[in-house]
Amino acid sequence: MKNRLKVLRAERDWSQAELAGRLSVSRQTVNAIETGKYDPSLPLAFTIARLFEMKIEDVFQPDGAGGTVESL
Amino acid sequence: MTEKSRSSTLFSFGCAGKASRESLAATVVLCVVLIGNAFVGLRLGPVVARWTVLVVIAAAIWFVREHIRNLRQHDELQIRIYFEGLAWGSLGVFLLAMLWPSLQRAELVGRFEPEFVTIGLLVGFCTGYVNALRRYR
Repeated sequence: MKNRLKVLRAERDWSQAELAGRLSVSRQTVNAIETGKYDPSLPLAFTIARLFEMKIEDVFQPDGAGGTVESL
Repeated sequence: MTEKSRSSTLFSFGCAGKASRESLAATVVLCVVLIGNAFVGLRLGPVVARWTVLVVIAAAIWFVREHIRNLRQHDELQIRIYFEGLAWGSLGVFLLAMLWPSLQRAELVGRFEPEFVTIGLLVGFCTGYVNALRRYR
């Protein structure tokens, strides 16, 4: 899954540690999500989207063509 | 920073808050177990041995309680890393126990000692934990 976390964080001039603090997770988790090594759980994904005042699909997008109902 | 993110340094390696509390618990338990075992080995009689064992069990229960309390403070990725360590440890020991009779018949190993379980769990856990930690770094 791709995400725009790094861009959104940079737009707000937040450090990884600052974002981690706002999400109540570790900096390691923020880094792993940003680099695509870890896909967050649905509750955490919703928390991230809410923090940036966006829809979840505006922050996270599925890799490739898969991910839409039509493609199934 | 929140409590959860502050205790982000994984399991006992940190120096703040709950992590240091767990480190203290681990140290106390280790001391109690070592001293307790040495005490029982002195053959001071069954009554003393029973009381010593009770103290060791109480310390172990306290450690487990502290450890789980500390675990609940961690976020989902940290818990995932921890579980991967546990999976390596438990599956490693399970496979070792399953394969041991065959290895014994092939005269590659001797008797299965109870200490092998502890060693296997520790080695497996550390391997899986470090492996997962590096993957998500």
